[in-house]
Amino acid sequence: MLRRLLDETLDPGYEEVAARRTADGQEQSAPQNWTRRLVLAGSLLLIGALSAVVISQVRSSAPQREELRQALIEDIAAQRAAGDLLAQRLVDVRDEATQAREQLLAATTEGQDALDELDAAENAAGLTPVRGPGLSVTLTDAPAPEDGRDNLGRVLDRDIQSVVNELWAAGAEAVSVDGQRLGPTTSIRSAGQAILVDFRPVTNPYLIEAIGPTGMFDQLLESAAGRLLASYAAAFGLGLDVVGSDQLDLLPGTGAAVTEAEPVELRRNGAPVGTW
Amino acid sequence: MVRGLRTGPLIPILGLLVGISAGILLDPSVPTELQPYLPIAVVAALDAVFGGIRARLDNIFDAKVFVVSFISNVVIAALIVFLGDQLGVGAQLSTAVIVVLGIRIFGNAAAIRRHVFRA
Repeated sequence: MLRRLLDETLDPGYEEVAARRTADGQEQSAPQNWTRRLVLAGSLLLIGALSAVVISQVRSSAPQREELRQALIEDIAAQRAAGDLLAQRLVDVRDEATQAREQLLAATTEGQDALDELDAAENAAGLTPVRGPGLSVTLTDAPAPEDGRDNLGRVLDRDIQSVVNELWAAGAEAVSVDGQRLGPTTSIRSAGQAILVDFRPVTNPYLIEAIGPTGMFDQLLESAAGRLLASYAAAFGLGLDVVGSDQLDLLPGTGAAVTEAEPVELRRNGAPVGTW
Repeated sequence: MVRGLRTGPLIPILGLLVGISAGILLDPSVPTELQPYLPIAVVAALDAVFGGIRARLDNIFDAKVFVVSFISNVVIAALIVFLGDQLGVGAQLSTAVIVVLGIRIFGNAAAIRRHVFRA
């Protein structure tokens, strides 16, 4: 079959027709009448047009793709800028609302009480910036073993969780992981290889900062979690570094979305006047 | 016969040139579903053209055979690729069609070369 393919490159139809003509006693080559010429010219016209269309199509599709990519990139940039703008507006409006609320509430004693309560709640929820003495714990992955074995000295979400829990237990007022403030509903968990704090990824080295009493330092190192991490550090090369600090600045968290609310009972001079 | 040889190639070549310029000038948009089959169709048409030129030089050219071989080449090549696409082997079958047509084009081009340069 391959031999036939290589040897008989001409359409066998030509030879058959020529053989038939010779058998009929005609000239080998076909007579050229006008219909045949027109059909021939028409099919060659078709071939030419087909080739030209395909060539121009292939040539024009490459720059089109590049244009499309560029347009998408511009779209992404524009949407990102719009998102940043909206986020900034949210911060501004929230600031305005907070100021207006403080002005209104500060006018009355009940308001002042409510404001104090609110401040305490916001502090507890990690919504306010905090400054004070504390300590910072740095956890670092051990260098990956060269022979491709599992890295037993890798920091896991559990390690960060246990340090954070120990810090809360030792009386920390505010804790952040890699600059991300922890609130009451913040989760620390892993997804695949990455560790997520409040569903945002944090990366090695993991910096845990806490503001609280000076006794935290000793309490952390003597706790079960602290001793376990120290043994990991000795056995597997996990990096554990605890430094006390006179002044730490923790940024406010974003806070949880409000999913539940109760109507407030309004009181004037100790007597209820209705709900709001 | 002499007359036929003199005016014969003129009309087909004219047709080819008009076709190419029409394709470039009009620049018709091809439906997306047909686009994968066009390059194959062009290669099939090219095979028919080379076969026609060789038959002409062999003095056995026949317009009817040429037109039929051109149309059937294009249709069958597109059909094979379409079938391959449906079966999930479109790329491989395209390659097979291109290889077979390429071998034929080479063979015919070699025959034409022998006619023209007597070598």
